[in-house]
Formats: sequence, C-alpha cells, structure tokens
Amino acid sequence: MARKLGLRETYAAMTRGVNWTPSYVKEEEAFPYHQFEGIKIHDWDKWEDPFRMTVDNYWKYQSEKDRRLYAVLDSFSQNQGHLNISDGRYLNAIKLFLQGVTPLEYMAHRHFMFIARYMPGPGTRMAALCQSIDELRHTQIEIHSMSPYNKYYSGFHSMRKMHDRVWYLSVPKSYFDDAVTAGPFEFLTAISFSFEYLLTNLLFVPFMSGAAYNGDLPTTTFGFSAQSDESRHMTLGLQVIKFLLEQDEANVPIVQRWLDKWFWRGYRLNSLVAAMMDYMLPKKVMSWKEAFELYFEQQMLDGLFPDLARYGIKPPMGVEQAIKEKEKISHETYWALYNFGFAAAFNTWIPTNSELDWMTEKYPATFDRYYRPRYEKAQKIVDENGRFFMLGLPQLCQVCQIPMIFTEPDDPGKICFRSSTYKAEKYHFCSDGCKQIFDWEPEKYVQSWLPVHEIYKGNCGGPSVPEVLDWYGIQPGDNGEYQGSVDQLNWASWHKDFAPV
Amino acid sequence: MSYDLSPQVIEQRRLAYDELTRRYGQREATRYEEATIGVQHEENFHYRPLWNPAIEIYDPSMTRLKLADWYSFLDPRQFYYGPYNQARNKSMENLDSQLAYANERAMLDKIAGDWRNIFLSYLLPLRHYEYGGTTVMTYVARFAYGTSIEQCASFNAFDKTGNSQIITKFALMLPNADQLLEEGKRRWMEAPHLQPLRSLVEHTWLITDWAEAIFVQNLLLDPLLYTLLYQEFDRVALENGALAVTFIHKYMNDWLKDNSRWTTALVEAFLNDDQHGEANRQAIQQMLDGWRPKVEESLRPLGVIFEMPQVKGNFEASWQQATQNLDHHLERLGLNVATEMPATNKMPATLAG
Repeated sequence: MARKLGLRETYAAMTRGVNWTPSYVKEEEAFPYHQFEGIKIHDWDKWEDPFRMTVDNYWKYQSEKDRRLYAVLDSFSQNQGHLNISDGRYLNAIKLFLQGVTPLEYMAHRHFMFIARYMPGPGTRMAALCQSIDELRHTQIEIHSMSPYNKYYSGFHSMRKMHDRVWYLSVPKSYFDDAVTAGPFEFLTAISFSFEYLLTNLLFVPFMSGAAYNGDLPTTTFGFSAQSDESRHMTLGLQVIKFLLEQDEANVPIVQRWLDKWFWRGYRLNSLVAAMMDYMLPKKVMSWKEAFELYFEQQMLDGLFPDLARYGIKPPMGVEQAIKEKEKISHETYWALYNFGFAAAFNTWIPTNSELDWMTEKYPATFDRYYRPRYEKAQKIVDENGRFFMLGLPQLCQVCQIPMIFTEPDDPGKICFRSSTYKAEKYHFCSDGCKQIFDWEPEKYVQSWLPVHEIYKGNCGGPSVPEVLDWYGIQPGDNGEYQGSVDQLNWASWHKDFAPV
Repeated sequence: MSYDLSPQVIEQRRLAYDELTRRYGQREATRYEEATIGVQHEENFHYRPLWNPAIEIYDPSMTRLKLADWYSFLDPRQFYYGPYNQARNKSMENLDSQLAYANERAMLDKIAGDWRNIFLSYLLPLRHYEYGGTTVMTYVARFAYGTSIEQCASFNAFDKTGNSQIITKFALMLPNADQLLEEGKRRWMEAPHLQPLRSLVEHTWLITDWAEAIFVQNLLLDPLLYTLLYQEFDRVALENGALAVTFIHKYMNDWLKDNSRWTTALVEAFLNDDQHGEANRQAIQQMLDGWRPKVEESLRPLGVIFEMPQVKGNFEASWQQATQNLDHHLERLGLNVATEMPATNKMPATLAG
C-alpha cells in the first residue's frame, strides 16, 4: 500500500505545493508590489505558517464556534439580556467599540485580501487569506452582537457613517487608512505585528475584559469566540517580524523605522482605550496604568524586545515618553471627551465619588494634584449652572488627529505643541513622535482629512453645531451628558419597573 | 396545545441600524442585511495608496461598470460568514462520508492502472487551476465596490483554495501520492494540452477591471471547464468504472451551481440598473466577446483527455453540450451569443506525459 504523507507534508502539499511561478506573464506584472519598500526576501519557503489549518478544518471549527455564538445572541435578545449589564453608563464603552473598532476589522478583512493577492510566497498568501476571512467574521459578529443594544440604546445606530465622518473617529480611521495605503510589508508590520501583537492586549482585550466584568454577554461571548482567531493573528504578527529580520540584514533599519512609527501611531490610538478603561467601565478591570505596565512594559519591553535585540532591533521610538504618560493620558483624554461631548456619539459624565477615589488610589502621583480638582470644579459648575461644554473647535494633531490635549512629558501643567514647515505650510503635532512621523513622510500626512479643518472648509454639513451634528448622523440622546440622557432615564425606569418584587 | 410565556416587554426604540431603516423603512433587518449593507467605508479617505496613487482606498472606478446603488446587488444565497461556513461545512461532511465509503469499499484500489495517468492529465493539474482562481478572486475581494459584492468574491476566493485542497485530498488517498502531486504539477507546467489553459489563467491575474475578472472566471471559464470535465467527463469515468472520483466531480459540480448564483444575480443587477443598465450591457457584452474565444481556445485541447480511457468519450458532443449550456445561460441573462463560434480543431500533437 502507498506511503502515507505525514500531517506536515499533507499541509505543505495542500497549501504550498499548489503554487507556481508564472511563465506566460511576467512575474513582476503578476506581483508588482513587494519590492518598492526595499525589503529583501531571499527564500519565501522560510515562512512558517502559523495557521496550519486546511480549508475543510477551518469550516468545521469555525462553523461550530459560530453555532454556539449565535445561540447565545438569540437567547440574549429573547430574554432582554441588556437589562443585566452593570449600569447603563457601561454601554458607552461598547458604542466606542462599534464606532471605532468594528470598521477597522472590516478594513483588515479587505486589505488582507491585498496581501493574499500580491505576496509571491504561498505561505504568506494562505495566512493572509485565512486572516481576511476571520476579519470578516469579526466585523459581522460584532455588528450582530451589538444589534440588540441598538434597539434600546443611543449611539449604536449608524456605525459606519459615523466612522467616516465624526471627529474622534478619524483617529482610528486615519490609523488604518495609513496602514492600507502603505506597502504590503509595512501593512503587515503595522497591523499583524504592531496592532495584533505588540498592542493587542492594550487595544482589544480591555473591551472584552470590560464586557466580562460588566455583564455584557454578547461582547464577552464574541471576545471568547474570537480568542482562537486572535491567537492565530498574534502568531502571524510575530512570524512576520522574525521572517523580515531573518531574511536580510538590510531589512533591519526599515523594520525599525516601521516599529517606531507604528508603536507611536498605535499608542496614540490607545489613548481612547485608556479613557474608556478608567472612566467608562462602572466595574473596573484594571487601570490604564496597570494595563500598560503589565501588557507593555513587562510583556513587550521586558519579554519581546530582548528577543529582538539579537537582530539589532531596539525598543520603539517614544517608549520613554509613553511610560511617563501612563500617569496622564487617560485623564487628559477623557477630559477632552467630556468637554467636547456635545459632538460625540456617546455620553460622558463626571465620575462618582467612589470612582474618583479609585483613581486617586490608582494614580497616586498625579490624580489628586492635577485631575481630581478639575472634576470637583466641574461638579460645582454643573450643580450651580448645569452641564457645560467647550463649544469651540480644537486644534488637531496632523498625524494622530487627536486634539492638542496632551501635556509635555515632564510637565502635566503645560500643553505640548510641536510643528514642522513643509512647502511653506506649517503643520501642528501633539508630540515629538507624531512630528517625527510627519517628517519622515510629509507627502502622506499633508493629505490627512482633518475633521476640524473640514468643518471650516464647509465640507461637513454647514457652519453651525446642529448642522455638523446632523451631518455626523448624531441624534438627540447620542451625545452630551449621561445624567438625564435618554439612556439614563430609560435605564432608571426599566429597572424600576422590573425590580424583583 | 401551547402554553403562554410572558416575557418582559419593553418598547424598542429602533427596529434596526439606520443604514437599513433608511433603505427598507421601519422593519427588523435580517442578519445578512446587517452584516452586509453599507459596511464598506465610502468617504473621507485620508491618504492615497503608495502602491497606486491614482485610486482611493475603495474606488468605484475600479470597474467600467456602474450601479446607481451598489447595494442593489444582494447575494441570493444571503451568505454572510456564519451561514457560508455552515453551508460549506455541510458539503464537506457529505464529501468526507462519501470518500470514506469509497475507501471502505476499496473503490480506489479497483481503479484500473490507466486511470493514474488520466488523473495526472486533468484532476491533479487542476488543483493548480483552482489555486490560480483564488488569485483572481482575492483581487476582486480587495477592489470590488461594496460589501455585498466583495463578500461573495471573498467566499469564492476561499472556496477556490478549498477546491484545490479537495483535489489534493483525493490524490492523497491514491497510492504514491507524493509522486502524483509532483507529476501533476509538472504536467500543469509543461504538458502541451494544459499550456493554453495555464497561459489563460495567468493572464486573468492581470485583469484590472474586477467585474471583468469575475465574468471571465465565473461566466466563461469555470462553467465551460466544469461542464466539460466534471459533468461530461464524469460520465466517461463512470462508464470506465472509475467510481470514486465521481464524488469529487459531484462536489465540484454542486459548488459551481452554488457559486454561479451570485454571479448571475450580479449580472442582472448591472443589466437592470435604471441609469446605467444599457451602458453596462454594452460593456459586459464587449468583455464576453473579447474573452470567449480565448477561453474556448484554452479549453479545446482538453479533448485529449476524452481519448485516454478504454471506453473513450465523445469530446465533440461534450463540447457542444458545454457551449450550449453557456449560450443558454447568457441568453437567459439577455446577453448576445456570437453566432459562429471560432472553434479551433487544433489538438496538441502529443498526448500528456
């Protein structure tokens, strides 16, 4: 009888043996994009497949996972499960997730198809194809998981349009637009490595853990269901970096530049997550500072980067500043969201006294000195004159697109401003990191679609606040103060009506 | 009899996401609709791609066809990720149990010796053909406009890799599979009767109009090739006692039937567009008229395969059947069929191997 192939050989036969080099069309016509970034690949066969899943196995495992997930969602809807979350305020974290993160899953889905099409190595193509299909799954199960909330709460109704238009969502949008408009290897470094590996425990996991702590069954179920997909994506991220570094020494400085850029881009994007973690979760998981210390300083700086040092890779640009900022960024960011909350599609509020105490405990070096007085003052204003907002338009950073709210690394009392002049125009930045990223690629960042500039240019529905909010698709109750909002009033009345007798 | 459960009733504020109520009015949406309609980003892209500054990240000009409403096309199968996976898993379970049965009844051992060479002339090389189809569909999945279309192409891309692996799986059940795979690839690269097909596949990778890429692969190439080999030649295989492979043929046929549903609906959407229907018709006709002769020329040499079994097949009759099926399909769509087919009688001088 025949010699049977082993598992490994079978997998190789299925995924690699099918590839061939074209001879009727020029190879560089069929695969035109993998060389312009200067990355040198000598042997695509050295690519280790992290997925190791044939298509039939994929269908089997994934359909089983989906079957369980949708059973939970159906039961949640049928049983008014939304009444069991910790507090109505919690859902604002999930609004931010649906508006800010779900569209990124979709972007990843589309652009991994680009990698699946254009990389000449069959192992890379197969991994990208699987990840693309996974990302479509995540887009869709997130939309489905949050659909039951849309039926009862504000801020969930118009995710994609808001992502394309609303000011704070240009932060995640510009991040991903930046990645997909880069070359294929930079995209892989940005998304597979930086986003899915380096920062995933800070970007993605806080939402899922927050859901688990706050009784959000659909999001928790989705989080668990996506876990095995995500671990494949993380493995891919590490593989990408090691493959690039091992293929040619000349790749090292290119990869270092991308790590520098994409750490800083991702870290700035994270400031929204930091605000969410510290301020929006009625039941806290951990503070931003603790998460940063555990998931970045311990796992990445102490764990990963010593491993990468043998290739000549250094910790990314801006790490020292990020470490200094761990005491500040969640507070600075939430304060901006609170002030500009009239134009956001989620509610904001002043933390309760016990929450302020929690922050004092978690941020002993800064909270009582810089931030607590702000909220006490805000509370006084609210008590005397009602809710206030900052009705002007903030200056935005040309690169990360966050308003200029961050302070000097060593002085929490002084706003940090940086600028560069390019072709006789002046551009503004929130930090040395964002300025450096601009200076590396000014042609790219002069193109940024900056929400504030666009309002002034007349591209956002009109000159007045109501016109812009209408153009954003923000409806009454989506925005502004939580206390007295539609969601808060409904929450109170539903819980009164259905309180156990 | 039934009993009454009284669930908590609180009034819903919304029936569905805005994207859907704007389109369909105040009604609940299906999960397909939620997962599909309006999901792709549409405006305010930040940067132009470094790899092609002429286009936006998602750009409707990537095809010369137009739809006034890109979501006027919906997948008749209503496939989003969940049901797609369930459906494919079910087909795969069927195939697995059929192959297990074939194994149990030692059907593969009973395949006469010349079939090894026949498999090497069509089935083994076709795993590369399928893989080449993934390359086309990943392009479509990246550049097509709107989630409803690209989602179908994404599944199509994954299916093509799946089809390729199913052929591999079958080959692995045969004696000396590693040699079979190697020799199959050699024939794909070198055998004269397969070179026109390989050349055509490689040229489809360079099509930049994604709609054209879909139509070449899904309206012309796949239907003709599948009819010829997996329907017509399947009969020849059965007459010659090559029973086990019929399960693979059947899987491929069923897959084609399923996959052509979305392509048919897509053509209909383009042709029925109030604003652009007529211009679309002319453009699609032009695409098909340009590609059909090339596709036919690339497939005619497969005739040699019908000569290989002991009980030979009638390739000319099968060819008539395949082209007629294609004509009927195009006519039903309201497209013209060229009156005289530029059929070529050229057959490769040497047989495969």
